[in-house]
Amino acid sequence: MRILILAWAILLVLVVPTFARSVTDHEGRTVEVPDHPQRILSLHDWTLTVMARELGAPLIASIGRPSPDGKPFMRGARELFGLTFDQVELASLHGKPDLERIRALKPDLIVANLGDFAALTDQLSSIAPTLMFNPESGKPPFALYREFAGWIGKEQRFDTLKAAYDQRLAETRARLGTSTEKTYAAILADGRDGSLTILKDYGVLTTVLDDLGFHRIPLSGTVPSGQSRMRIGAELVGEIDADMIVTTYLPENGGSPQSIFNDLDRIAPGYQDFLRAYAEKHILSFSRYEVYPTSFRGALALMDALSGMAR
Amino acid sequence: MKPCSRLALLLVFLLFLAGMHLVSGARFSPIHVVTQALFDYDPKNYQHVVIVRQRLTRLVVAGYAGMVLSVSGLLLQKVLRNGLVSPSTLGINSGAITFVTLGIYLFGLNGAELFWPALFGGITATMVAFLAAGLVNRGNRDPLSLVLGGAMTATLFSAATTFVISLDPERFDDQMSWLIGDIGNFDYQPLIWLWPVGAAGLALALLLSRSLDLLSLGAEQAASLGTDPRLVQWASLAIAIPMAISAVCIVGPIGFVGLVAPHMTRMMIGETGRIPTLFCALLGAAIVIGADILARTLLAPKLLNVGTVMALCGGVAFLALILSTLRRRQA
Amino acid sequence: MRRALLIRSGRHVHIPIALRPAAILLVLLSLLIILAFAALDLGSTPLPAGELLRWLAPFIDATRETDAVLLLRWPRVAVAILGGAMIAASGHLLQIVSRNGLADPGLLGISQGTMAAVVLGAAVLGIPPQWLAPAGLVGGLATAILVLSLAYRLASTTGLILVGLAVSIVLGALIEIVMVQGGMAQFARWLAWSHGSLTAVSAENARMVAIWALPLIVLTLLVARSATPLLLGREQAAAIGAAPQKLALLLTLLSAALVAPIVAVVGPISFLGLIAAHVARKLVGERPQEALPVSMACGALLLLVADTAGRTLFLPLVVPAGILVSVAGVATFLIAARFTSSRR
Repeated sequence: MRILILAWAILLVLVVPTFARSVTDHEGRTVEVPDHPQRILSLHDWTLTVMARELGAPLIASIGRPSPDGKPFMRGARELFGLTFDQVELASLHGKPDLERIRALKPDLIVANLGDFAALTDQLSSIAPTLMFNPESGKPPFALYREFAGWIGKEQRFDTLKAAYDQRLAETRARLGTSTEKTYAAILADGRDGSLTILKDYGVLTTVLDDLGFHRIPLSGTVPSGQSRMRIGAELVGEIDADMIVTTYLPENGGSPQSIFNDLDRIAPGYQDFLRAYAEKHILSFSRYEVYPTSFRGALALMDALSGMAR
Repeated sequence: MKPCSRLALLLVFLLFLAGMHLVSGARFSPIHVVTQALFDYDPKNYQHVVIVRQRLTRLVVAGYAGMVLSVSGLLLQKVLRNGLVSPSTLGINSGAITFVTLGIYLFGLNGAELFWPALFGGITATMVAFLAAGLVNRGNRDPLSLVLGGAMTATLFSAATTFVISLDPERFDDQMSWLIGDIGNFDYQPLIWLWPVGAAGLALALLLSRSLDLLSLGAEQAASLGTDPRLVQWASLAIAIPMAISAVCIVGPIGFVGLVAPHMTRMMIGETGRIPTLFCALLGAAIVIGADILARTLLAPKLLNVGTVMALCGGVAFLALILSTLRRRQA
Repeated sequence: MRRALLIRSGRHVHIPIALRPAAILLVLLSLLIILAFAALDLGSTPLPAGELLRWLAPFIDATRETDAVLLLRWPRVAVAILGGAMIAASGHLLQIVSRNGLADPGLLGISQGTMAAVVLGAAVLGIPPQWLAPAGLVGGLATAILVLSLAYRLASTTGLILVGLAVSIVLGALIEIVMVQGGMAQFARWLAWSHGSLTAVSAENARMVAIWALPLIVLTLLVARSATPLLLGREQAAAIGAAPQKLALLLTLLSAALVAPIVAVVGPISFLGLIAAHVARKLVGERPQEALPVSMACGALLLLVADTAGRTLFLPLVVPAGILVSVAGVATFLIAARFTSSRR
């Protein structure tokens, strides 16, 4: 009998603290979540899955997208960490949630993004404690990352990563020297219809450049507040003239680091003569889902590339 | 001679609009720079590059799309004897978009290759619209039925497109403006391959215009005057659909010009003979060129989609058209 | 002559019930009950039929596991049945009013109005996500009223539908201007909102739909009989003493009210109204008091089957009900076309 009571007491000590925390999510709901969740299920790949993976959280399942051959993959997590569905379960396909499948995976914490899942809050909450994450609130990516780390009880890991990032930032700054006084333009060149998109906020890409002390081009100030990008005609290619032009490509659509040059050549023939960045070979293109999702790995890779440029 | 002089007037107006198109943009260019760029092109001068490689190319594409879509609309309206049909209201556009989206997603097609899935989609959509309309009223032809069938078909295909896109939206990032309908700076590149479709269509439409006029007298009269009504009907459809598709492939679903241009033509110079077909073609070109000017200047430096501008203006025009037609019918 | 059963009660109450429609309705309803049971039983999580029976039976508690699984299923099943019936009723009423078998409630501009309210509300006015569904409902009804008042002076239902189409297009363009701002991910999200799927139906939604559905369905069944004169056309209807103008307005309003909550919760489902009414007419003929209930039963059946198939057949892919209904619709056309051509 005594041993049973003892066991019960130990069990209580073990169990109670795991349900001792309440968290306010981005939908404004206060949710009781386990202190150290053991089975996290993520409903967005290139934000939540990437962050949970980088923080080393016990991620059991994630949403995926079908590639044309029918096999699902996780955008962002695949590019950055090589994560596949051999390592975690498929929670559902993007935009087509199957609640019963999610439930059958027995998560003890569900993280979802507000934009896609606002209408499903009630049902998801009936399965497990659900936290809604809103990456589009306009807060800086790393501040959101910090909040998310707090939600899943991984602040310490976040702080370690952030410290490493800050140190690296200082080093890179020192290495780039005076070049941080310079300006940059973050753009996407639409190879189909010949427009340019000015990016005001583009995940890690713009965050790192801003943190390094690069200045933005004046045109990016004309992007309406509350929006992160603006489509302009290629007539204004002169306005994106900066010391450095950064852009991204999508490998699935046949993109490569060279695509930007072909696109610019089609969009703005003769751009070579009008853009300083071309003459200085400061047009850099990155695989989109390595530098767009919020992750320190992406940030470090970006700084590697920039240091390479300085040499 | 009157229709001819009106045609000439329209041509002058079209040339004026074309001039406006070349002058206006995110920044206005002085006229002498434009003429210089056209006749003494200097690839080192970016102003010249803008005018020739970015505005002139858009102008050509806008003109082609407007011309082809409105002639296609005119043919459809004449042969179906229904003033409410057009490539967009029959669902041809949405069908083409769905199949093109699938083509991009499954086979990674690009450029002019997309004509074939688009054509297939357009034909499928037309068949669905006709089937739906035929189901409820066989025999008596209510002009509304085809439009309703078309609207339903459009909803069906846009649901299918949404389904494909929503599986991995990020992959279609680059196609967004085309999905809504927009003219790009180098849309002239697929046009190099596709213009014969439009040219042949226009020529055949001109050839067919007499038979179509006869057909409007009624099938029996037409037959007695030596026209095979079925042949004319099939031929018109076989011309109208690929014509519309050749434009959709390049600029995406720009609707309404195919609906509104034939009506305006009818109001201005009637519909018998060959001149209305030409008039309609030029008018369509003028409408899309006008919409393109608006899309580039309204919120400059921000760029709007031509398809959106067209839907906004076209929707209002359509509403006015309906209200006036119905009021006249009532009176 | 129709065979009819006459129910008498006292001297003055005679209720004639035509046998054929009643029998068909009975068959359809029993089919609906069987399929609803099957729909509750099917899903990614296996559920023994005995457990389901325990859950359904009053006074017996099912296991918590069963409760939890069915909490994810029953709202969908309930909304599929009620929503299917309401969309079918709405379409059928509109078809009677316009005397065109292709009239669809989507054409009143309700779906575009709902979406405009949602998109503009979220992006321009900053309405929090949980209030978007009610905002959409208000937007949809407001658009329907706008369309009705624009078209009312025209005194023609052709006009009504065309005005609805035009208003939808203008709203659609406005929505697009907002939608394209945030890149493709946002665009796809807005698009997904505008196309029929029952994935996001919660128990709360199901209750809301039920509250709307009950009075409206009763009202629809009550007015069905009085709609008969409209089948004759305006002049004849007026000649036999009906007030066609008022009746048409009432029925159109009813049709809008029937479909608005469904559009707000599920999104527009094209072809459903068309197929249901078409099948109903083939089965029992034109008379509204017989065709409408059959049409509603068909609509409920179709949406239930489409939704259940969509969430069980193609896993892990969940196909929205709207697409499957449309596919079923096209198949119906092809079969109908084959039948008519072989009969000729």
